[in-house]
Amino acid sequence: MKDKYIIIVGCGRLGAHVAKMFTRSRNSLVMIDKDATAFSRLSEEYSGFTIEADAVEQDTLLRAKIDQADVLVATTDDDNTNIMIAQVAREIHHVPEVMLRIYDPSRAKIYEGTGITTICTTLLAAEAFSQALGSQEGVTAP
Amino acid sequence: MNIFVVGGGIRTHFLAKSMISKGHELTLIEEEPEVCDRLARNHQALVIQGDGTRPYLLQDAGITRCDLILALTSKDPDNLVICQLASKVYGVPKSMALVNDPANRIIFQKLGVQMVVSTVEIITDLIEQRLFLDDISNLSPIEEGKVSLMEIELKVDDLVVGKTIQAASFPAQSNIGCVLRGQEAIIPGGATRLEAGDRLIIICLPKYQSEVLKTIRGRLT
Amino acid sequence: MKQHILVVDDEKNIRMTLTQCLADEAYTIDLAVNGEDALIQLSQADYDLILLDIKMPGLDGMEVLKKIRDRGIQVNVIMMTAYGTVERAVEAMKLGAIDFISKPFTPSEIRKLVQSVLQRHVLKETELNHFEEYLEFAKKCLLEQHYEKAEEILIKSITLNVEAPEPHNLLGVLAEYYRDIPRAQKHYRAALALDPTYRPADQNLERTVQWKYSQAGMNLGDRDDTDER
Repeated sequence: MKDKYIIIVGCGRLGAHVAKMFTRSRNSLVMIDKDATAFSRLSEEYSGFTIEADAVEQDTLLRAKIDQADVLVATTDDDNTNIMIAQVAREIHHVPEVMLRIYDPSRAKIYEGTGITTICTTLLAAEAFSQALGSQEGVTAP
Repeated sequence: MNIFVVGGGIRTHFLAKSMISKGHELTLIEEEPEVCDRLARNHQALVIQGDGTRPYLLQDAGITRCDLILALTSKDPDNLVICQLASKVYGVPKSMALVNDPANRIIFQKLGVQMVVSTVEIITDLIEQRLFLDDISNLSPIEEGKVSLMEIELKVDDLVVGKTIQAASFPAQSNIGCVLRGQEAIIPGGATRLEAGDRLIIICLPKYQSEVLKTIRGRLT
Repeated sequence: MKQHILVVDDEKNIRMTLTQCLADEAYTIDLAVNGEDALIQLSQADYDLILLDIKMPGLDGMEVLKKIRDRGIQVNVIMMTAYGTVERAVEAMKLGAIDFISKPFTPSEIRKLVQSVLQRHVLKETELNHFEEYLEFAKKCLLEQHYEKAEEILIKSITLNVEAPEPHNLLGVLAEYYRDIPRAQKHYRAALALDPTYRPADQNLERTVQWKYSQAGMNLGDRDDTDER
């Protein structure tokens, strides 16, 4: 992953961490959050832009130059917000790679077939727990 | 019809009154317990307390029987998710969403919500149209504000008084649908001569309203 | 030979992202954290290009630009604007800066701009081929204060690409320089008619609508008789 123009919406713990990982390879990042104090979560090495605005407003996405984005990641704390922003990015602005985080996997049916990548923290955590349990008891997964 | 209303708060109370009296079957979903209490006490409707953006809740509420869903929460993303769950996942034939950001109206439509109401747009349109005075009244909005229908009374010194409609050169984007003269209602033609006191019923596109007024008055006020 | 670039921005993440974007090209990059720092660095080294943030605490970008020119330093300048800041295009043009880029920008956007600015000086009027070269040459003329020639070239460039908003925007800036505000606005509107999303023209139009240009005591010299609303 080099030189991609990546927009991240939501500078919570996950968003800030994703930014940190993407910064390592040579990418151009734009971090959007409604609240500027959230940007303090960004690491010292964060190289990129920050926009303090609500990404649910179309103007904000245009200001972030979403039509030139290679990747959009929606990591706000609210599933519905992430679902909306991801669809806008994908269906309206045709961003090639769109990823979102949701807590409630049953909502993913809304955008099935649109090529949006879902990261469901609930499911991933459950799987991780299950694997950890399996390895602790020396039992291999079936 | 079986209608679901999600998150309208106090508006739901008045909507429910109106719809139930028309014979519709209502399911009301609200997050706040006090609101739910009030609704349950006042209306013959199924009232459910919870988050209407959760599929399991909509399912439990019987959304598969729903004919029309109204998403009236204060958050645009929630309204989008409600309508999309309803139509894409549960096959609800008609959906309507409220939006705060007017720019989201067209976005929602592209994402499959059939009817979208942008309260901000309606208000700003009304304010812009109402820049003028009381002898101009706006009649009921048609087609989500796409058409402007107004009634205007001609005064003695208006520019068009004494002229035929054709000679008055109203903008091409307007149409004098009717001239009310005293007790008479005239469907005018180009040769109809306008008199002071005539009340014109004019149909035009909203953005040409000021041009129409300029034609009649020579100025905007 | 490597081109020497100075990046002036008070935000560390911007300095870092620019360093990354322009990294493996033929450039060496120095960083300045504010206007004062920039002036110190300029007194110690020669640069081919300065990327100058407009909105900074202390000396803002325009003030820094003025000081640079007052010192007789000719260097190319690209002004970086944040969302919502008005591009003071005419003022910048008088101070020899015609290139603006608004944040955020993509790596390819900034690289392309840096490249065209640095290569502009070799353009010759007799060797112009396509639209881009005409546009760049016109900018070169504006920077060298050959305004009539610039206008001529801009008009020519429009015939080569009727869809592009940029020449119209620059004609607007030129008209504004000549204090012909109605004509300037006509040009800005033309640019927007071609591309309603073209921000520079949008901002320029807004600016001319807001500022009151006083008729009395106008001159084409250094002082601007404009009051900000």
